[in-house]
Amino acid sequence: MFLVFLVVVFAAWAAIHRWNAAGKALLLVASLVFYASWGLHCVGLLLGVIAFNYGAGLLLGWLTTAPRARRRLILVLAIVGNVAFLALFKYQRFFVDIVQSILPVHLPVLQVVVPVGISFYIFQVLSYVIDVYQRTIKPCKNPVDFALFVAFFPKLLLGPLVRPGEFLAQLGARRTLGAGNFSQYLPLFAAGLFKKLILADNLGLFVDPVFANLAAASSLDCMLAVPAYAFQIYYDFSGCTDIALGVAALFGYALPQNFNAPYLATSITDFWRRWHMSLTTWLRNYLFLPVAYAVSARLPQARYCGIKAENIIYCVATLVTMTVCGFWHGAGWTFVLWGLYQGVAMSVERFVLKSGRDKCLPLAVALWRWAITVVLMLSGWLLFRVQKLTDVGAFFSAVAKLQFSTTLPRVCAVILVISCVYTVARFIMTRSGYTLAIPATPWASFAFGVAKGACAILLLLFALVFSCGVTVPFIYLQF
Amino acid sequence: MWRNCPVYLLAILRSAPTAWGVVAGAALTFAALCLMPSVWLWTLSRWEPAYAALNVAHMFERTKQQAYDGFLLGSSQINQVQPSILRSITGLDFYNSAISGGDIAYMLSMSRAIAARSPNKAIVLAEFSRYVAADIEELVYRDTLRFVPAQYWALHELGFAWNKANYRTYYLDGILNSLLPLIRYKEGIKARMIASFPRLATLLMHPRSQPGLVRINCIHQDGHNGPYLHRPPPYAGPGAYVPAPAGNAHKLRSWDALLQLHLQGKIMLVLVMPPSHASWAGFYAKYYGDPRSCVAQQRDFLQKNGIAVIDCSSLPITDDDCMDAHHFNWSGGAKYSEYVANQLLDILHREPAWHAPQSLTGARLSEVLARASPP
Repeated sequence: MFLVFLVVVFAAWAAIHRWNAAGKALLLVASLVFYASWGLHCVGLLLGVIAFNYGAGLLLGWLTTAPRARRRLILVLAIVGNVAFLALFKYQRFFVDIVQSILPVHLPVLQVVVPVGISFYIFQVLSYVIDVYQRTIKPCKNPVDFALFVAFFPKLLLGPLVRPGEFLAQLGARRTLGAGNFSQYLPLFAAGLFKKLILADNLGLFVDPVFANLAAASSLDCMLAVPAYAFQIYYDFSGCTDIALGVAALFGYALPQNFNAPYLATSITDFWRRWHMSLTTWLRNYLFLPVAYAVSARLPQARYCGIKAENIIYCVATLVTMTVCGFWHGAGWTFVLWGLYQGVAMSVERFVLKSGRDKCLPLAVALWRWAITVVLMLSGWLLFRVQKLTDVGAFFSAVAKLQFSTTLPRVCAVILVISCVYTVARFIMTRSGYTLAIPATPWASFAFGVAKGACAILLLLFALVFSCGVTVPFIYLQF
Repeated sequence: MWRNCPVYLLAILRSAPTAWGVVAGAALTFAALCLMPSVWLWTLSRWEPAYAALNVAHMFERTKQQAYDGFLLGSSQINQVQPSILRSITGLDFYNSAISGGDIAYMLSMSRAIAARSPNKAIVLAEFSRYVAADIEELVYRDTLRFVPAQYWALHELGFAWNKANYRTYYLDGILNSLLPLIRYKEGIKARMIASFPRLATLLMHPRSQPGLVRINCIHQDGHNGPYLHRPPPYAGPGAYVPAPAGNAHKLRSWDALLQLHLQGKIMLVLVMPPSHASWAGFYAKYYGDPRSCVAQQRDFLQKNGIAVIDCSSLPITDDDCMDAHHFNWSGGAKYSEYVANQLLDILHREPAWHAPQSLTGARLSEVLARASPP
């Protein structure tokens, strides 16, 4: 269905793309139609968010010369409005449960359906109002441009989160249509579909039953399920990102990369530089740095109890940021703890690891660090995957049973083994400085392109023919 | 200007060599895949009918390749009629392309395809399916739309199916599958891989995505359809039944269209009324009213229009012939097959126009009838 939608929208856009305004209007309508397939109420809410933030942006622009307090009031109102909207739809039940578990009261719960992609587009509009407030960008006066910035369908549901300045600048210029659109779209789309339909979905068919019934799972299944989930979530999300990047490229728009070989990281800090990069960039700019500045303003001395103030600042800001990051992923204690766990790991690394020398490490040391990071990452994924905290206990009970039978299908075993071997091989190759160099002659580039195009088509067809036949939604759709 | 074409081409390629390379590579690979149907024919060439998706995809290739004398169309009941028994009694080569729940929508699409593709005028044994539950009907539409190329779809069915979200998806899938033959044959390719390279297949496919029925039928291909489970009594009765939600208007139009194919001389249509177990005959009455009156009405209508009918309702079916309420085991299937074969022979003898030796089909039929023992 999506493919048909894409073909229709692209054909219409190709016909009118020379008129930039018409092209953007078409993409906006298409985005709203696309979003309406999840429910008309979702579109209504999205339009409400767009209108609210468009107005806030204009107001902030209008008050450029006004006293800072008035501008800050507008900003605070905009942030509170957006966060309240997110909390109402996504976190309402979580907070009500907390209050009811503490106080003997019965709070009503509004029966609302969580609009899909709400976390992503709320973060987008927050970045916009903050940037306008900070005068990093000018307020967007064209409502179509602003609506398209928020609702552009390739990135609407699952990101990547784009910097407002970068995307709005792209909207200002007419998009070109040529071989470049297809050459970027096709390999990304094929790779994304392959990652999702073949790799992630097959692994999911093993992982999901294990985590659904940990008490009945064997020790080996439990131990295999965690790395399988690590690869599943990576393939699932990076596949989705590839599709988003490819589809955006088809319409001539560039979206930021979200992944940079995250499982090659040699520390948890490094992992977060490579995993969901658009989110970590957002968190760094709009949460980590403001918190760090706020804390540093309250710590005038160079050292406290023998600890450097900068380290304390870093730890506090990291813990806050990563806890929010965990909470952003889902309204549950497992996610909060997962975020906290990442924050603690990064804070500990601040003291244990020497920064700035990572690339110069000898291979053996790098491998050792990488192995430790993998263990830490997998522990984190376990916390992320379980439905409730008691499941962690159930997981370790199952592991302690020392049963070594397994339900791992061969295809999953193959995917798992190839993924592990590929990761290790790539890690060693990267560390050894080996890179694949294409000669810079036009014919070599052309031949490389031909091979890439052929591989893309074969990958696409392989994904369509050998998909596991079970429709599994993207994991990040639930966030 | 044309002399300068290579120069222009080179200039374009040099402007963005990688991008044009990707486009060229993709286009060439796609064209090669589409223009190599022999690859898919090879993949499916040693196939006996198995289940809906395969049956349809497979039959399309066979109709072009091999001149079958006739086709069996309909639901899982006529699916039990064995081509090998028909061949031994009538001398005619039949292909059983019946599928679970295959009703008139399926039969019409297939008959249109047979009329368009079969090198000879084929006999179509169409079963009058009485009981098609909503969920089964949906599966039939799904497989018909996904696996029968779009040009053979009955357009009046489109209006009916377009009103339902699932059916719309099947239509869109079907359009895509019509454009990409590889996808239409994907179940066949998978099953062929399981049969030929079981180890590789298990490495590439999750067990849930492997077509289980196909695996059985690949191994036991002996010209018969279906795995023929020998279940001991007591036999299962009919389960919960959900009547098909749509009305019958579109179905009657399809019957009419099928009749037109016969009247236009594109196929030789024979209607088959399947037998049923006496114990379960009344089960559907609470949903449909008395099905016998409906059957009789339909039979009369078709007979008035010159359609031959093989009425198997008088065939005695006992517990020993049944697998469940309306499916036969091997014994019942053989009994049903023999009855249909003898009745067909009788009809052929009574229809001299069908085997007039002027046509290729007529010559073939008259030759076969001369050899077959009289009924």
